[in-house]
Amino acid sequence: MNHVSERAPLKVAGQSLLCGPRALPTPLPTNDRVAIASPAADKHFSISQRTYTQQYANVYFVRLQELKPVATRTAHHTWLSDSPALSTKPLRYAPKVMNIVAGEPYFVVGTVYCEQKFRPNVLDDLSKELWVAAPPPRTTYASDHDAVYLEDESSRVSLVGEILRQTPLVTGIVIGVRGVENLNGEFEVSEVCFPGLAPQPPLPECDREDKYVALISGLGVSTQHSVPLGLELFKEFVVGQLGGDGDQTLAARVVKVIVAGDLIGSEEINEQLDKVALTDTGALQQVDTFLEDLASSVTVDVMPGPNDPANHAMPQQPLHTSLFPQTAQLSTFTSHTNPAWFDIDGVRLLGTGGQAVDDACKYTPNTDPLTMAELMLRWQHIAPSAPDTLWCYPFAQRDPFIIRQTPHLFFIGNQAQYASKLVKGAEGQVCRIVCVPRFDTSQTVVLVNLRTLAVHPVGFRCTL
Amino acid sequence: MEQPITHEEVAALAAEPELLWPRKPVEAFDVSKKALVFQQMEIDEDIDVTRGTPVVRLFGVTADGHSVLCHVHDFYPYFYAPAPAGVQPHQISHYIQAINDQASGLDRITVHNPVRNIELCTKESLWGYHGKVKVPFFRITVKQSNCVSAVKRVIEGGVNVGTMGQYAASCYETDLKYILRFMVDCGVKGANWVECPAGEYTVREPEQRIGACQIEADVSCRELISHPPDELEWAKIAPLRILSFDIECAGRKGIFPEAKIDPVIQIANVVKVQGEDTPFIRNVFTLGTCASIVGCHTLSFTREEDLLARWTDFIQQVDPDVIIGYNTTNFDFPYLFDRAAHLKVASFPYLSRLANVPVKVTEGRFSSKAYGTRDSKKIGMTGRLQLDMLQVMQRDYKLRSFSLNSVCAEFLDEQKEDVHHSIITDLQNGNEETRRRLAVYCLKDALLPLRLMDKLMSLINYIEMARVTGIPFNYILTRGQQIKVIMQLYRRTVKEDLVIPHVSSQGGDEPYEGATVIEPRSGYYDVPIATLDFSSLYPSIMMAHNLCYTTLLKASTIESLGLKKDVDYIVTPTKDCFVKSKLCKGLLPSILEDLLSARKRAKADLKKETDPFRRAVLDGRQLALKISANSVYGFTGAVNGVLPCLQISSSVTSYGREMIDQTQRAVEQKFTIANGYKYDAQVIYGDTDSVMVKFGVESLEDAMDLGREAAAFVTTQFIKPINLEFEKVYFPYLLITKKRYAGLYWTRPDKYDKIDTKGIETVRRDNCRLVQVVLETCLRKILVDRDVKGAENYTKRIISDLLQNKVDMSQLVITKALSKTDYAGKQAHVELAERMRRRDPGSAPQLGDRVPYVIIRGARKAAAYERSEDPIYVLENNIPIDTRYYLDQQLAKPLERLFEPILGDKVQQLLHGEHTRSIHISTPTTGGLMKFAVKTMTCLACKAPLKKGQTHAVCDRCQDKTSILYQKQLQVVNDTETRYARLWTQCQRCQGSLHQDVICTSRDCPIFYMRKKAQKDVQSAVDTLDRFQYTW
Repeated sequence: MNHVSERAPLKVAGQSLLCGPRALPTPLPTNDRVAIASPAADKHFSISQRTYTQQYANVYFVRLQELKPVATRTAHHTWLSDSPALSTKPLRYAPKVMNIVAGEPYFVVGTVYCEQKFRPNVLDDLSKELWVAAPPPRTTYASDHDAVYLEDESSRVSLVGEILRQTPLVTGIVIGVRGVENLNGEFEVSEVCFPGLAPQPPLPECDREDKYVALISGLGVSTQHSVPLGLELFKEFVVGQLGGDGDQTLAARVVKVIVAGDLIGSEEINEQLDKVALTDTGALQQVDTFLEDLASSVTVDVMPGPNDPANHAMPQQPLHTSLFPQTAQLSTFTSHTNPAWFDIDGVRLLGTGGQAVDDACKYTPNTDPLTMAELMLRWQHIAPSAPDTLWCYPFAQRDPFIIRQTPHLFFIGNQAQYASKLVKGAEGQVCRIVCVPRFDTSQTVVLVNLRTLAVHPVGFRCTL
Repeated sequence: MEQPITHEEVAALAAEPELLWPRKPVEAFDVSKKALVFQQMEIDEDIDVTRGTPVVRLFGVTADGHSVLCHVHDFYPYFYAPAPAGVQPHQISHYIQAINDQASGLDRITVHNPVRNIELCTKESLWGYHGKVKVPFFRITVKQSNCVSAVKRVIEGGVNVGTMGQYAASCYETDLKYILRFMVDCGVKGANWVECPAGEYTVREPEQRIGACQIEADVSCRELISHPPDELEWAKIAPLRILSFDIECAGRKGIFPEAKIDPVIQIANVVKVQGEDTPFIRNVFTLGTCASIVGCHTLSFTREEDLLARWTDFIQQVDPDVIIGYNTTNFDFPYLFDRAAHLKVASFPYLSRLANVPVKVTEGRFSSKAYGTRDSKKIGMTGRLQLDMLQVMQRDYKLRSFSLNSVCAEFLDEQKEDVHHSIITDLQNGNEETRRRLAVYCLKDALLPLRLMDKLMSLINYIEMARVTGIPFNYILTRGQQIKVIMQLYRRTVKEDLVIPHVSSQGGDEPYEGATVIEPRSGYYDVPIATLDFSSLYPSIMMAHNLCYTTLLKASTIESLGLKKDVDYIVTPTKDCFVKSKLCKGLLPSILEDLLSARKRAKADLKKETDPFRRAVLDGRQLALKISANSVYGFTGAVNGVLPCLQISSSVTSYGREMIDQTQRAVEQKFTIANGYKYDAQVIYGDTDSVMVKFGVESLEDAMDLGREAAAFVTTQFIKPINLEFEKVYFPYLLITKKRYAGLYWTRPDKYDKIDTKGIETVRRDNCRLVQVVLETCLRKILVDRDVKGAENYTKRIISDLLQNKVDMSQLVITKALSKTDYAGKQAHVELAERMRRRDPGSAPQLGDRVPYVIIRGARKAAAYERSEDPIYVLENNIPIDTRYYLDQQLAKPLERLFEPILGDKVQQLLHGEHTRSIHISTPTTGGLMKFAVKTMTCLACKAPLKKGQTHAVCDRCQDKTSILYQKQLQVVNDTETRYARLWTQCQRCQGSLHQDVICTSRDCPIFYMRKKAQKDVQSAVDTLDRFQYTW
């Protein structure tokens, strides 16, 4: 296995400067790019006709309906196989929260609701100002006075117990709890159970060839500067103009580049907000050129991120192709939703721009993004805090954020740091989780081997 | 709960929650060894039927939480009348005989020989100074309290007493009610602790009891010990059981529920013990099945009759001492009784602590100078106190709205879900899940009054008020200020052998000259303004000059006693004469002294106390003492009151006026450049008991030092205990007109305390919220940020936003209650209600509802009342709002007043300047010409109409601008989508359930209209964005 160290491309960085940034790369004939099937973009997260007469209750309702049987199965499996001698009274299952009888040991499944002090509250903001501006970003919602509830369509019960302090919980997840209701009507929880990993189709085995997907996010292109050098280096690496034979061989095996959100720098958008007229030159044009170069050599899939010119509520709809007039012409380019599912020759990828993980982490300050991503797999939901604190479209019939099938690769864009982990499930599921760091601060791209799920962060740091 | 409860016990209670209802049983005790000590909460009178004697009944609770009914015997009603000259003790029996003979002849008298006894004593009338000469009085004791007026009439009409001749006299103290007389004579204060000493009382066996209390005892009034509540040990409060409840009834569409037709469908109850944090009973009685609620006991009934009967049973078992709720007095209770009567549930009205006495609802009117006049029902529920939190709020607070919703938003800082009464019936007619939803809502409404009471310390403050003023607890809500002063007077006169005459009201309602104001020098002061306050001005004037009923002099008395002016008596500025305290110390001054020194003590204790509960009690006490001291002056001035004495009240105010003038002179003469001070001080304003002084200095420290110096200096010029205090500095200070000002309030130089305003209408109900917000923001900018320019710019921006229709509708809604239909003049909300009824009788506001409306644009000459419209209707149909109306009629006047002192003539520019040129009027989708209009898409860039059938975003010529336009539209979508998400998730949170649709229609909530608008806005933004889909 050809390991790519961070230093390797750095050494060749200087040479690449000789090539003009606009020079179209010519793929090397000796290293023909590995081919993949190119199915149409997955429509799982796209919304065709948006309406807003329905309410958010539907999202929770549908979510609970789908995840409750799953969580219940896991809870049954975990708790009812206990040796009965452990407790004096038999543990019983309450089909609904309201079926719990005080004083009796029960387990029950429902949606978690965290009442948190520092959660953005539009009423508070309103009393201070006249309008509903976006809330000031908070690093955490948690405080010492928070309360946790479990609810289903029938009712809500307050959860208490030491275990809740140790368990990361986020509003909107569906879990099982066991315990006893006390006289105050509080449920004293002794154990918590998550749905666990969803089933997974096996990794395609016929493939003996190494294929890589390159994950990048947070490009941070701005009008002020030309495309950052590191980004140019990455492009040259992918098209095979960089490094030695080893690098070029590796480059040829990169079958797809996925931009997991945030092409544009954050300061760029803020400035545009106040301007009466927006400029369509500048940042977007640079991104267009960069993508065109890439897409002429490899398939490029782009997801919008928090700073991109797309709608901000989850799921973000594909960036409009009019924003990339040049790249849009190429068949190798696809504009995706955020989050998005990908299928590369049978390998299932699920990617997000990072908003959901960031928001969920604010509920439990001690949970890092990688752990949160893993938890989401076990909760079978990639955006539990939507709609409560993560704005989302009011879905009425379905909750697209439910993970019905564990992906082989789950990547989170726009993270502060690179992190990765292989998660294994009880039924043999295997999932590679990757936190893709922002490129503009880390100059790092993550290559994932689609055959082995091995992961290689590659630095394109450029010190002149 | 003292011990932790095991799971088994929890399970047992969960299986049978009724086990929690009754009080702990009383353990047997020996009456000869154990005293019966309890906190009495209610006192009433009764007749011992077998003996025909009056009885005082005390209802209360022991420290162990047992309910007590104590019958106090041997106390008889009495009153006084001047005895005939030279009457001898042995002749008294003739008088008794003569009065009884004559009284027995009266038709209305039910008691044979009503006079029990007459004693000869020497007393002096309270009214006027007559050289401290006591004269003989008859103390006439009667058999029952209802004999008092008959006997009085006999005596006043004249009795022929055989050889002694005719006896006729005017009677004294006949107005004092029997139980109040008892309280005065036995030293019983409102809600204080009393004791039946061991061996001196008997306990009734169950079959002898008339009440529903756990302990029923008999004691003589001679043995009863009353513990003064100002002793630390007796300042405690018993573990009272407090029940809070709320009912729901299923009304018909468009009609306010009527007890004869519409059923009571739910009653939610929450019971807690005073001093504990959480309720120990939470239950809801439902008509029809109800899915269970965690932590709550649901009792379902198929027949409404059973529900009501069971509720009475519940009340009797729980045996609450205090029953609270929100508008229970005028809605919940009367509705329940009417409904039960209609359904013929005979057992229902037996809710009181008297086993055989049903509760009666009577109409009453509460009238008080301090609190205004209100019609109110009276629920006679003997032995259980009622505290309707709505009445508490209306009495103690000035608010825009008194709906439970807005009161909770104000004091508990949370919005409350509000289910419209038309939906309630739908929920009831649904299934057990929808009824459960209703039950949860009902339960919340039962819990909120309890939380409100705890938060505002209402019960504790009222108990302290009852203790301090010595009136029964239930008088606090049902009576005004006068009774408090009367009770204190009686408690005093009884010790000093004074008797209180009956005084008919003095003349008409003619007002006497009020407090003075020094003409304000209006303006914006950007230098510290020191404020000197007379502490407790009116009480201290009365004390300083010994003004009282007992010291009032008549010209004839001065002559006959040969008194000398300024040696023996003083002449007040109103030319009234009062003797000096060396001859006779006034009663009112000594009451006031006691009150004020008690307050000083309470405040000192408060400083030392660390226990939060005792702190609350002490704070309540000092507040009660302050209010009581201040009400004494008003008592003497109440012309239609019990004991008006305008000589006292007008003397007090005239002294006050003189003192303010004198203070101004003293300050302006002393603090001058000539006397070595930096600047000449100037009094810029003075009102009632305070004077605002501009010393000219620029720093807060200097102003505070000078303020203290001035206060000390001026105080020396007045008689003790009049005291001028330096309290605060206003910096900056905005003086508008008299009684209207605002300033930043400083008591220490390092940090300001608050923004203080007076007379600036921010809470007036007929203003829209915009006025309040704009005024408050301007004040903050002017006073806190000291940014006058910023306030101007802000005002301009808001006016500009208003005219361009950018202000949120909830800011513009005006709300008025539809109290009666036949208003004399046309009123906007009445007209609107009528119009809405024509549109849809089902959803139109009912009598008693509050009608929210906005003023819309209409025909040129249409009056404002014709242009009122339902905000929801306006939102749905894009009806243009008359923004001019809001500027001219709502904002203009208050803003002019606020900015006049700052900007002078330029204030007009603020209201009519450049920023008012741009006006946006939205296009209505209904009415008028819109019926005939044909909709055509226009190019988003150049607004040119697109070809028929085309829906693209732009026309062919504007293709190159697509990307920019797209991003702009995206921005709109993102803004509106965020609004939509934030507002609707908030409602989802607030209603306490994620899985159910929001049905709240609380129009008091600031986001109610916003969320409706957000829904429409996001849809139209998204639709426009979608037009870009087809462009490429």
